[in-house]
Amino acid sequence: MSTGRDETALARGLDELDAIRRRVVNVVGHALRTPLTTMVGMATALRETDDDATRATLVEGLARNAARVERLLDDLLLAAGVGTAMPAGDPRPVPVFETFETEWSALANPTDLRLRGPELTVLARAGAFERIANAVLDNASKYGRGPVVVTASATPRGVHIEVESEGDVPTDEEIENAFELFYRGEHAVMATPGLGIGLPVARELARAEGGEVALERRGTAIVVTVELPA
Amino acid sequence: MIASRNGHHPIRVVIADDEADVRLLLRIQLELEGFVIAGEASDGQEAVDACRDSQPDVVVLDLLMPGVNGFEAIPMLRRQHPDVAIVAYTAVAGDFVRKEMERLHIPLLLKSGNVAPLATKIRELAD
Repeated sequence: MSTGRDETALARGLDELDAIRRRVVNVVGHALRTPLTTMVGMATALRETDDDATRATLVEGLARNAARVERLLDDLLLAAGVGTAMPAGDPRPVPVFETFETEWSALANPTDLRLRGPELTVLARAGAFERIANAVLDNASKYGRGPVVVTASATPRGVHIEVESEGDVPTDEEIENAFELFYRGEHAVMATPGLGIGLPVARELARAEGGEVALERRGTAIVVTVELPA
Repeated sequence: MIASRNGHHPIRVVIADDEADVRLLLRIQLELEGFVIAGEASDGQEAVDACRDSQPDVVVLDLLMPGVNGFEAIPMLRRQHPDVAIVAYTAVAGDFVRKEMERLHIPLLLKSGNVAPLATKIRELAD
């Protein structure tokens, strides 16, 4: 027999589920729509231009945006706990700065990346560190202003990496929820389209490799730290 | 080339979007349509600066951008560049965005692979 309290709890639960559903549909629609419409536009423009240089630019753009959609879908599957999206195979050494530079140049709007410290290697399975680097750099480029500074140092357990940017300093609530799936803070919502899965996925991947990802405020800077074995 | 409202020069457009590939695509598509891309901007402040430097007829303005976003840029553009027409160009628009653009009398278009609606709107505004 249900009581008034049960019904109230059920109604609240349904409201919360509905809110999550709306949030997921909104962020997924938003984050996927831009690369997909860009691809449609590029394919159409490819048919309409005879200029070889323009055609080459469009083909490169198509490949770049297709890769972006593929990664978004991988991240969504990983966030949903679908095991096939997890990197497989044995861990191998991956150069930290070289990976950060490659992932930085693949972002939608790369600006100024500064690398500090020695070139070190981490141990991770194929694709894991690349996706972690991509997620934390994407986060820094979207919500920070000015240069993004990456510092790497050796620790007894492996490598400690800090990704620092100046920007809208996150509130306590934003820091507390930054690793919640589909959470997007007030700054994020007004700044740029996104899924709200970058940092949760980065943490999931790092933990699977025996490491950790965390977020902190340092003065007026936002710092994401990545620990991984070496 | 397409003449602007005064009929003496081609229609000049500033593209403001934080996504480099969106800017790249719009430049190619709008140039194929005969417009002149007078400048590009990756946030609202750069859009205001680009309007100052290149004096376009129309600015195509993304709303969600890091730094100064499109919503914040609109009053700055209206104050500093009242002759520049604005088209809001966004990936997703909920009720709030639609009502806000309606209130401000700013045409709103959803990002699409088909540039024709945007090109038509730019021509209307430049007439």
